[in-house]
Amino acid sequence: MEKTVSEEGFRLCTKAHDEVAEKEYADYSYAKEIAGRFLANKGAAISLIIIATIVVMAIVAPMISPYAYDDVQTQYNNLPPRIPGLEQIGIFDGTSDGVDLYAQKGASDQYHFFGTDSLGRDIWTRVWSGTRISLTIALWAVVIDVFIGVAYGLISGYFGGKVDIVLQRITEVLSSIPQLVIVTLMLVVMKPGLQNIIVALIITGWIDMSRIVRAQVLRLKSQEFVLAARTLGVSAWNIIFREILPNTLAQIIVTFMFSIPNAIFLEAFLAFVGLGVPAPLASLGSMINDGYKSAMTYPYMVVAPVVVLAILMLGFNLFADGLRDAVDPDAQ
Amino acid sequence: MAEKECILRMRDMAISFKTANGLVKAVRGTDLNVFKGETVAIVGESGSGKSVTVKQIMGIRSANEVVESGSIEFTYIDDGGAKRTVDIMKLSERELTSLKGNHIAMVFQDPLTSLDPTMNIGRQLSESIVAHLHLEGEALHARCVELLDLVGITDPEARLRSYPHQLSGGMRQRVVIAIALSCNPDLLICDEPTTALDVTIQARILQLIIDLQRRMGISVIFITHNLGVVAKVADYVNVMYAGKVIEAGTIDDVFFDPRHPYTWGLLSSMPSVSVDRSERLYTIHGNPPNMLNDIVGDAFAPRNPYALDMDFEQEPPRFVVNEHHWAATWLLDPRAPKVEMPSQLKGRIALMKTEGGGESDR
Amino acid sequence: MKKYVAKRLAISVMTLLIILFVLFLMLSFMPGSPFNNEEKMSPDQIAQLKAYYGLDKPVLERFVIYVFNMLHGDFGVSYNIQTNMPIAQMIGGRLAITVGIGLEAGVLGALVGLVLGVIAALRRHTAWDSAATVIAVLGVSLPSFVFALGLSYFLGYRLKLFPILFDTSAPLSSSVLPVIALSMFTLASVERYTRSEMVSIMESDYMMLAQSKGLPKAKLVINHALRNTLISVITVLAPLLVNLMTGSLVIEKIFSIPGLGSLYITAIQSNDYNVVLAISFIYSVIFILTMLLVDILYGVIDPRIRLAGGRD
Repeated sequence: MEKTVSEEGFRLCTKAHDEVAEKEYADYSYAKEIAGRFLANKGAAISLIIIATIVVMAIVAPMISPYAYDDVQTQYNNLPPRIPGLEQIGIFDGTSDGVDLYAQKGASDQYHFFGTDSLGRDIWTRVWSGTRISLTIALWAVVIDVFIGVAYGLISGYFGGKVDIVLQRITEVLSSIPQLVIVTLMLVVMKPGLQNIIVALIITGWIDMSRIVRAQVLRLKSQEFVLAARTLGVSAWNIIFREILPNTLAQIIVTFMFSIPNAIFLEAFLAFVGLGVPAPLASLGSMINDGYKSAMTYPYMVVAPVVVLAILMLGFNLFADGLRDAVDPDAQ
Repeated sequence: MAEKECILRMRDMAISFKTANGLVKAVRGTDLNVFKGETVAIVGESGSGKSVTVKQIMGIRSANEVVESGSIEFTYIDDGGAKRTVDIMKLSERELTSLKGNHIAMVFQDPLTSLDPTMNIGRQLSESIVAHLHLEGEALHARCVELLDLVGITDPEARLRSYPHQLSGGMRQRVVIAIALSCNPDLLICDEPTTALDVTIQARILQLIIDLQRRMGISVIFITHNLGVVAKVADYVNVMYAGKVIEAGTIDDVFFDPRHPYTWGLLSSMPSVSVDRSERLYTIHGNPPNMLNDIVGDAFAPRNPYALDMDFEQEPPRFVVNEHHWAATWLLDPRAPKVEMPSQLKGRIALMKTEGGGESDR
Repeated sequence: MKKYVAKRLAISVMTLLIILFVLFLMLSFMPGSPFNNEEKMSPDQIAQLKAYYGLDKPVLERFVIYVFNMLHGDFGVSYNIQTNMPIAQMIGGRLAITVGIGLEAGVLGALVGLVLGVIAALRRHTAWDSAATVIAVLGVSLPSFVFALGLSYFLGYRLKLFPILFDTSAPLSSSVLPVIALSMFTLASVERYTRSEMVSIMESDYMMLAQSKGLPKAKLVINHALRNTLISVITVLAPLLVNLMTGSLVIEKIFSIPGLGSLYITAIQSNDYNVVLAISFIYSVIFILTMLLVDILYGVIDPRIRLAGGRD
């Protein structure tokens, strides 16, 4: 194809033209990229909503409920759920096998969204205050575990040598004992109680975090930017906090997010085997423990805490999953 | 030179990749010719699209790859002895499978990861032989030993029972070559086969490939970013930049009479031992273009110290230099100012001519 | 290879001894009395009982005696669940049940998970893949209570397909629900991991080379992808084991299975010292033993470890 071009086009180009290339790679924010990837993931976005909703409910619901979680009113026990509005449609109308139990027990003016348990306590209130407790325990345990685990991993990984060997031997032995056994025994020795449960969870939960941090530190330690810092005479502590820690932050946060549902489950599990928070406090696990025996006759007593527990764990797991994929996108 | 038969004819290959940031146009219209018994080199820096182009011949595609256009005509003698020509891009999965490993084979870059770590050498070597030549038992074993011998591996019997991790990098690469040659392919593709090896081993593997090629009369496509390797191995050179071939010719053409400023840059930046110590190392300014963006004009223009205004507006067509040499640069247009290659390069080439006088006796 | 096994074995035994000692120590600090009705007894009576059970000796001596007895199969006697009943007897049958269900759940979960994972990897971005992901996320996130109660209610109570409580006279049909519930986590984890491993293996360099040989797809998947995937998957079996253990306690309670777990719970609640010690130890043994077996299995399958060459 012959194009008639003017003579002009064939002059040597005089303007400085090699800066053009540089502009293309600027303007890049790590945090924004991760946030973008996270929100693009449908599961992750939903999980954010789930977690937010549950946390809000846990805080607000017991506060505005007309019942307290330990309001024992045995004359109103074993009432099925009754929700205003929905009861007009015929579901959650407080009847069981056609019998209006609310009327029967003289409680026609009461509404129990999730029904009442065997002592007449409102399950709705108990579920949400139980969630509060489960979340509190989990958060305390995990946050402290993160500090311990990160510190342990950083020290063990960075300083290496004898320090590393000793520290790793300890973790090896500790992790050989099933967490189940340690936690159970600790509670047996210390007797269950809010603080003791948190302590028991802390004792075993840091190991995973320390392993992951250590692995990352080992990987980063041999990279050149650390070597460069060392050559420049940067002190060990500065290297750890300025060079290595920021690069492990992503992993730490992801592991942190995964540890939360783990802790929630452990607490529920302990409660289920009888080592949970003492009555009249409720946690999701202890409610499941109280309710499962009558699961066939009064399913709502156990369904409510189970469903909330399930959604809670699902939410956190999805969140942690989404975070992990956003931080380190593998072949997806 | 008798008229050689063209066994591979690639036309207008264009490949893009779907990424999170958009469509990356990695290959933007590439042509390739391979003649029987010849070694064709493809040279270019990382990201120029050389690997992607050549993988199309093997039908190796990533999940996010989009084939925008292209045809690859391959001529070979099939198992019945008849000559056939097929368009590889139009073949079905099954038809392609009968070609791969059989008539076209490939040697990959990193020998440390190219072999299955859980399978012994003998098994990995015999896979294609069993699939395509249907040998078994004694015959199979004999062939495997013969192949290991061919690539220079000592004590082949023992090596057949070894696992990849028990062999050194150089030996593993020999095994990979043996696997590639196991069914006597018509075309061998080598994707930077020596880049991951130690320098001393590099030379040996290179020599091995040259010898085998001469002996077996295979056609070879050789990808590399190292011009020194090209000089040793190739008959014909294609220089790629930003997804297109920008200059092509015989070895003598491209090394002694380069026409595209990028080729000048490449040749100038080869560090050479024999030159004046006070000379500075030459580098090509800037970075390759971001292939996410559409490229207007000559892709090399921003880094080209000899760029014309035209280079920023319209892509240069191919200008013929002689019957087997062309370059896509506006500098070759009759209307362009007379620009000569940098004097440094001229000096070098003069040196190359006098020193390596045996360049053309192949 | 033999050295590898021997070393692992030695470490395991050492660890077990340490664990036993730690457990022993912990229990000696247990508050409350191992005896029922201690408040009603006079100090003399208590002292007598203690002497009878050998509880008046120093900790170290008791430990040594304990280990010695244990090697002869004598775990001591229960104090208050069934006074003076040899623990070995109490545990015997229960151990078999618990291990049986655990094994079934583990194997079922692993096999199904493997199959689902392979399918999901080979059919990426299709309905299969999405379904598999949903199963994976649910299986991993939802605690065993949910599956146990859910299955129990819908398949057991409503549809009456399987019995809701464990029945020793019909061990097969009544273990269906508990085994399925227990296997979910393993199934989901294995499936997830298999899928991601397989995907990354399918994109590895050696797969590319194998593909370039012109081998039929089935051969590629089975001979190359699957083998390597299996090796990787074995490495993640450890945390699954942990989950099987905690899960089995929950399952035993919900389905009323007369296994080790329910005895454990009872022992804890009644402060039966010896039983708690014995079962804790047995759990640890099971755990370490399985880890040891997995390690050995891994060493056998991965030629990099099996042959003297070691790993790159």
